Amino acid sequence: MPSEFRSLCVESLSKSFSGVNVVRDVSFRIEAGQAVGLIGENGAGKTTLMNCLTGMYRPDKGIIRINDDRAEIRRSRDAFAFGIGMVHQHFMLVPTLSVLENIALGLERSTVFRPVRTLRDEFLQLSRRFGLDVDPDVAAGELAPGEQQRVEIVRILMRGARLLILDEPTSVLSPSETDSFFGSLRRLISEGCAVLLVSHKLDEILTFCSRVLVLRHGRLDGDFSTDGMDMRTITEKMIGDEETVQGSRIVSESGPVILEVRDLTARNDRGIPAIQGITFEVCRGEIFGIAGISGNGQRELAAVLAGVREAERGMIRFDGEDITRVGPRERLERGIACIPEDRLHEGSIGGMSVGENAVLRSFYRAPFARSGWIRKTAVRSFARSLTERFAVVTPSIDTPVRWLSGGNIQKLIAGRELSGSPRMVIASHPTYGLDVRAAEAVRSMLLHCRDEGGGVVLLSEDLDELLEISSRIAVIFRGRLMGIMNHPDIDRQTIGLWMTGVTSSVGPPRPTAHT
Amino acid sequence: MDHLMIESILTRAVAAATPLLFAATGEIVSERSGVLNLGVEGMMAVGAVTGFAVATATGNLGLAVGAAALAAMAVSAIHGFISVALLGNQVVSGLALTMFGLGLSGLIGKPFIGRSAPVRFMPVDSSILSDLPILGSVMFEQDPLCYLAFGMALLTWVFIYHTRWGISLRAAGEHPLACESMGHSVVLIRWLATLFGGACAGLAGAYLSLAYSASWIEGMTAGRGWIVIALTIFAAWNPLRAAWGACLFGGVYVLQYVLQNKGIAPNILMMLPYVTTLLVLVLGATKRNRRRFNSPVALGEAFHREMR
Repeated sequence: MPSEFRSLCVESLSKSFSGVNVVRDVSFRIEAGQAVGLIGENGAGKTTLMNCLTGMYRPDKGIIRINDDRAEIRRSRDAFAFGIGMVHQHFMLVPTLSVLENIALGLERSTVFRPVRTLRDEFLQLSRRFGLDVDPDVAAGELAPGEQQRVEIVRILMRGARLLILDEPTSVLSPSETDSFFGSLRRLISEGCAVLLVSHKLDEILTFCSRVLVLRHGRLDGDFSTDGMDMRTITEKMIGDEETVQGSRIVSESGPVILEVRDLTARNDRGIPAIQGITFEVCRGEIFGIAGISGNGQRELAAVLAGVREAERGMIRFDGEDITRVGPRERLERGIACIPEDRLHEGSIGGMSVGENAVLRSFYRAPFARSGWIRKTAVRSFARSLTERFAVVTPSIDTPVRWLSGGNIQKLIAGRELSGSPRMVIASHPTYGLDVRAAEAVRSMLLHCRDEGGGVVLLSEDLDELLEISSRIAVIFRGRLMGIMNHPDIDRQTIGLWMTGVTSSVGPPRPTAHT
Repeated sequence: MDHLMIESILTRAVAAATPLLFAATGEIVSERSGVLNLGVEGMMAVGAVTGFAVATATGNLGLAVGAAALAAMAVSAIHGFISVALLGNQVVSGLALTMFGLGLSGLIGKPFIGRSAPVRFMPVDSSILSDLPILGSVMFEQDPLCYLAFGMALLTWVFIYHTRWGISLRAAGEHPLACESMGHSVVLIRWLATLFGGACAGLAGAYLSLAYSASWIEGMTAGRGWIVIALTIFAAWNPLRAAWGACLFGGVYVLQYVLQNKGIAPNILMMLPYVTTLLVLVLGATKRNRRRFNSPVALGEAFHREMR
């Protein structure tokens, strides 16, 4: 293992999947002590590029040099040997193994017999430096996402990583966690590490990175210093044109109540109460935001509202009617659309084509089906118009959805759900992992639904997004609503406190009553 | 029932448990890596006939057992090739393996039908210990293969839970992408686990034809391979649980013979192990047990590094 890492140099790297060029002729250089950002729209090839650097994919052509010597990275082990470590957006911890077993996984210098014993001290020492305080013998799957992420970083450091590739690292972190996370990264950089940061949060790139690489349709479209750049210029670099960053787009007046949730209680998959006594109302023409750190019951709340999880207690009234026991398809028929959190597993069927997924909610009725027969032409033309309208990048309508990038899958799902002009939308993290343009497209779809007189429940971890479009924001913590604030009195600080469970807030929590 | 009777029932139960435990240990390792091999029955049959044939030809038991393991391993390599290398459907491949193995063993075994083995495994002679009451002969009057089976189960348990390789094995079956990203070759791990599973099934077959009944009859595995699949689930992929689970099933086998004297129709008795299997699966599926019985997440799923 070369203990010193001086530079990584990529020359003309290309990679294609079944004839689709995902990364084309990309060259760049990173020196030790640098933090470099990598940005690009969904499907621009960022993940593929990184997987080539870490040995998960073998590039079709191109040269990778470490310290100016040619490096053959054929598999992950080689990447570690050259000091390259990556923390993936979807974590690579085995949930059923303990934290220490995850650390020992594939670590050659650990002992064969009872490997965790020899690693314990080193792990505890390193994790203390990262402010990570976890029981090393607990199953990794039981840790909070933020903790899992730090375990991953400690793991690649213990493997001698000097170039850290981080894919959307802050998407699972609360604002205060994010600050301390970047603090730790800065310390690593001052010790001679390099960081390649992939993020859609451009403000993070601006404050943390000295340089930014822009990937567009698989090509490197720019390599800029971030000096003197602001949000506007960096956004322009990324999407080329168009002004997208906008201010508040909230309308204060709203109509009568459309969704009424009373004392809703439900358990999670493991039988533990996940939401307890949730009560709120959503009006026509209103976006009701629900903030909170992930894992506080948002997932279960969305599932109960969609009708795919049973409520243990409480009531949901939609348009004056009790729908607590109404099934998901019936709810959809009544005009409740859902954008689920896990787009690949809940929102789409990976093995089915883009076209089939586009009509997943309506394939059984006209115009897509007639007396039990699917009408392919209707499906295809609908799918084509959907992909055009929502700028879903796909080789064709017949491509299996699993081959699309996460952002494009999300655009497809959001487009499908919102195209039927629903009267109510339950959106869970609808812009998670999306680039600026795609996120804006989804957001304006939500706004459009609101302007048409529909109600929207927006569950999101992105506070900026919530503040931008919600006329009321509730905060969920450990399955309970900490409080609800009305626009324009929404106080960012209080929300931040509520998100961490602190009630003795600066601003008084507002009553949930609505005019 | 006097205690001599109980002693002999228990002793035979442990003997009946031995082939189940051999094969279950192998299947546990295979499934832990993510490879579901439903071909146990077929591999066992090939092991049984090969062991018997080599024992007849050479009169060397060690050679016979080794050949049985190798032959079944070769059959499992077919499964490995289809499911690990070609990313094929593991269920279909495993089922085909059972048919193939049963047919092949029948073909090879034609000349040996009705002959008894010239050599066979005998219970070890440890007169002092086996005179201990009840458990004496249960524990100390078995044949060497039986001890090998229980010893292997113990070692496999240590391997899975207390070694670095065991961590890698579990990771391959739980989260292959994570396993691969940490520098392993999931394909290699799965190949090795599949071959180990095959060898173990071969040992189980050898036990049947060289110790348990010491003869070759076509179809002598009699569904044991399927019981092994159920036992693997019952054991929650833990070899030590498999050890006592195998004894439970072994006891049911012996019960057939005991109850025969009580005037119960033999057809009903022959169903006993399979009824027990169904019962075990039903009980295992109750809500309380569901978590403990969680199978490896990626069990049965093909994996390739660049697959999306």
